[in-house]
Amino acid sequence: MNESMAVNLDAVMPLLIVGVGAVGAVLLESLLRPRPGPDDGSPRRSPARIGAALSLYSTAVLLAAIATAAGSFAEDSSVPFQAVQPPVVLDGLAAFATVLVSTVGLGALLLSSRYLQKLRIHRGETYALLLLSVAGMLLLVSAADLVTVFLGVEGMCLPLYALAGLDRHRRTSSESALKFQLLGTFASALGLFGIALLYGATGATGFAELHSAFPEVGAIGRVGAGLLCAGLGFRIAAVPFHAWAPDVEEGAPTPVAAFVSVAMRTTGVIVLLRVVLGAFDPTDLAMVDVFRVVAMLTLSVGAVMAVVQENLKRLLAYVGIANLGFVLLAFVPLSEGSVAALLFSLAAFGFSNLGAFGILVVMADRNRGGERLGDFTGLGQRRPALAAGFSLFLFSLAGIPGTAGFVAKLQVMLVAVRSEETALFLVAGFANLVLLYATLRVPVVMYMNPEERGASRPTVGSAEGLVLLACAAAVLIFGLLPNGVSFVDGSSLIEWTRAAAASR
Amino acid sequence: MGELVGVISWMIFVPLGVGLGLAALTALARLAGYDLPAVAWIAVGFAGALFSAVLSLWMWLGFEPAAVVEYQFVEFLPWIPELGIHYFVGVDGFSLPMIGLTTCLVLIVLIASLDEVRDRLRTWVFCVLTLETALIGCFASLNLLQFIVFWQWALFSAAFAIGIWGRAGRVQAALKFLGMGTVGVTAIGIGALVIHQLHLEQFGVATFDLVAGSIGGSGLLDTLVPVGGGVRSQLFLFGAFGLAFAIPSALAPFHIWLADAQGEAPTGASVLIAGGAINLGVYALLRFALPLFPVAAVEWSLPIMALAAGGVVYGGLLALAQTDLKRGIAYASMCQLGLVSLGLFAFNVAGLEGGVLQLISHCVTIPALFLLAGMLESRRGTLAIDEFGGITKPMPVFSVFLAVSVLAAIGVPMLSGFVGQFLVLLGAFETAPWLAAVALVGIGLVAVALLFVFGRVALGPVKNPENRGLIDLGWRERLALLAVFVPMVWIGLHPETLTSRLHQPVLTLRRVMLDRVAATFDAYPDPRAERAIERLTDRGPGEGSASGGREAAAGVASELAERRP
Repeated sequence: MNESMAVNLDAVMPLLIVGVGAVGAVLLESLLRPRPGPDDGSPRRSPARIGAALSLYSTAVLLAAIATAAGSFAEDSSVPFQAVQPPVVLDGLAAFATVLVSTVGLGALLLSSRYLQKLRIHRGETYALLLLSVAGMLLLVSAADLVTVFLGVEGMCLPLYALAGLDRHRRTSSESALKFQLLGTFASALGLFGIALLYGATGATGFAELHSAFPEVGAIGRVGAGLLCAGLGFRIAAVPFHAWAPDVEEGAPTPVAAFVSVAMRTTGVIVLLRVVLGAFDPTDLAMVDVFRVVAMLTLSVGAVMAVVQENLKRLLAYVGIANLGFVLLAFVPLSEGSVAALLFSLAAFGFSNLGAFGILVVMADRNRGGERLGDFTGLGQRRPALAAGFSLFLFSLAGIPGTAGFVAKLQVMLVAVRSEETALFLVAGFANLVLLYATLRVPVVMYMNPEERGASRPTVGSAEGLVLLACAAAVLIFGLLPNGVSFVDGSSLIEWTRAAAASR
Repeated sequence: MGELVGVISWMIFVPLGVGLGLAALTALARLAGYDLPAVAWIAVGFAGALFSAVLSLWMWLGFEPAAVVEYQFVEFLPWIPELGIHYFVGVDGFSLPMIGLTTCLVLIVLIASLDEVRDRLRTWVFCVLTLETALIGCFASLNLLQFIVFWQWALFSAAFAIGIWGRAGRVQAALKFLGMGTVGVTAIGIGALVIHQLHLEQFGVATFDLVAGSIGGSGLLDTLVPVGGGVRSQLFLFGAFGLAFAIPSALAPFHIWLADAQGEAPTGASVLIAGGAINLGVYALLRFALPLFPVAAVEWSLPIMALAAGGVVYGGLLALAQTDLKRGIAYASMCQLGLVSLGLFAFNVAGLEGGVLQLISHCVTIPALFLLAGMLESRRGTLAIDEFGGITKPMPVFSVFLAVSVLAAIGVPMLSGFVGQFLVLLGAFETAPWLAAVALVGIGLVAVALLFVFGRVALGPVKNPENRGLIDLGWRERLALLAVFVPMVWIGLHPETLTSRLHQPVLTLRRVMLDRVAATFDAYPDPRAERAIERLTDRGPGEGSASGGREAAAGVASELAERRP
């Protein structure tokens, strides 16, 4: 009894840390908040100092979660399964996803403080909301039951709706929040309906029971499975459920957009992976057909629409959709080898996209500048390091050799060849060309167009610089040494993804 | 030299390392409030490039032309071994001159850029050094995927060089260059993944290596029967690889990037594209496409030769019509490249050797012409041919250099162009006499065009008063030009320097192709494979008496005769 309790706590430890930490952030924020009242001459706490205290606190919380998950990953990567009640598992996959999601959350957090103050929308709740959303994600990535999935999705999304509307004085931000919430609720309803149908067809919500019942599930259960996948498809912005993504990512404050684009998508893909592999049958022909069509659509719509964008946040949104298309290649059909490729792609996409949004955070100014393509004219001369970093992240998103994105795309393309998906493979190759052209427009403007007089020379805050440097290092290291160096064993991204895929 | 890293790695990575080091140093200096001057960049960058050039010379001297080992100075390190991707480099007689030329041209470009590049000189040096790394990396690659990686880098470096430092239409030209180049690289990438998978299915080993790089390793060429076996799939795969060859080699419908990119590019980029990036297509063909898909290569050869011969004529006509000096040179370059393709796809010894010789001559003469054009442009700010005339009087030294390069480019004996052109025509006459005749017409056209340009620029009275006060070449410019002229004359006078190194790889290539064609025929008795055997066993002119290729050919031919009912 005692021993199993201990295991239970271990399994949910990162989730507990972040969840309790979020509550702590609410308390801390209310303690620190300057009270309205007569000015008695005592030194007022400035928003900057409150922000610094809260970000330090939240950083500590997320670092603790990352350390816990990484520790369990290092110890238990040989232990295949660790089931607990409530239905949550902490396996290699969950540990990998926990580390990835928390790291992205940490990155978004570090990007937030200075940005929000720069835009005069700094509010203490931001940190608590972000932590709550991360807690929802951590619940999701280790879900072993459809009810847990639903709870996790709501826990992840509700704080995000609020965060998207943080910039209340700006119409696009409110619009983004509203659109996000309406469509998100619709997606939740779809998913919930799917869960209900599945329960009706099989009498189970646990993945293991569903998996054994799935072969003779009948039409109702299949419809339920489709609806559940559609609900998750909204969260990862797979075409045709992608319409919200560019609007939300354009309107939301940039760090939130980065968080939505990367962390929510990563989580969604992991859940989809768990559901398809654990609860359904990945080799089911109808399901493979659907995923093939969705992957093709996502690839081509994302790449083609990215070409015509002038707003860089929208551009990154569509580039993100196209990159998701590459991730979805691994779903046709899902297998152990493709899971490793998928995890690598998620990590590569995560760091590249976070870095690209980080550049936008640095470039942002109060008047909503630093978002249009024209704002980047001649940046190569004004701020060579920023321009080089942005090019690096965009090249990685376009899969140029030498970056993490290339190794990721190479792996998923090999998966497509291996499963003899010729049409999908060719669509992906073509989409990559289009995507390259779309992303290349930015370096062209930054380097080849002449510098404008009087253009702003943005400065980089220390936290932002840290995030950008870490992302650039990750993109380069995962791209140039994806397999580590020969004299250090067991410390490369490829090995981690393999271990995570194997220990699911 | 350490044990881990050999001479080729030093040659590849020292330029990049120097560039990165200089960038880091500049950033540090800026933090300390000091600006690292551009001259320091040029000096240190030149030292790095010189290091590579000296190494390539050392390698040239240490290379054994007649060695039986296919690749020399081989290095092998695992990179992503699970996917069969290794860092695998080595040279043979094909890559040796290309590497040597690249290192030499980079030095010239760096010298010339002191006079040419006025804006962002430091970034320029960085760009040139990365391009050098990428080009040498390509020419030394024995792993297909590694080759593609370096190729994409080379495209990026060159495109940025065009886009940042080029003339008015530079951005469009850069995008066209990069776009079309990337189509080629994507095509070969898709082909590479497919052949990787076919090899995995057939032999159970994941590899992108050309030959086994380590004991117990496996290479795409190690198995005699081409992977995928069936002739049909070979035809498709060769299509992908052929596209990657045709675009940089400016084969007729795929040449549209050439005049724009070369016309808009700064001189240094023109030189490195003409002398380096263009070779990548031919290199991909010789190193990968021909040995991997011999039946398909032979099957495709006549249409490709027709396009090549037509391209020579077409390029000649276009060269006649140009009013801009650089665009004229670009079309002359297209003609020479057409001859290269014509020779290579003749598949006999004369054609193959001539094609590579012609390519090397192209890498010398066309950069020389671009350098000369750039020197005029930096003096006058224009390249319109009509603006000039009678340059001989103010600039006698320049005119001599121009005359010699033009003569070399049109293939006058005793200069570099002649031997290659002659061998190519010899080889092509053997297989497709009509096409060789067409190409001969094109050679005549381009000769007229270049001589006409020379006459309008250099001869006659000085009509434009602005040309009266032009200053003749300075010592830096003379030095840069001399560095191209030495090989230009040397190849013309003593072609054995190159042919002795080219002979062995050409024979090896023919033997490998023939062996694999025969094995294909054994496995899949297809009339196309039989035709390929007949083509490849034809005794071409110039084949040595005791060559391994001929013996192999004779052996296969007799086997074939036995098999026939």
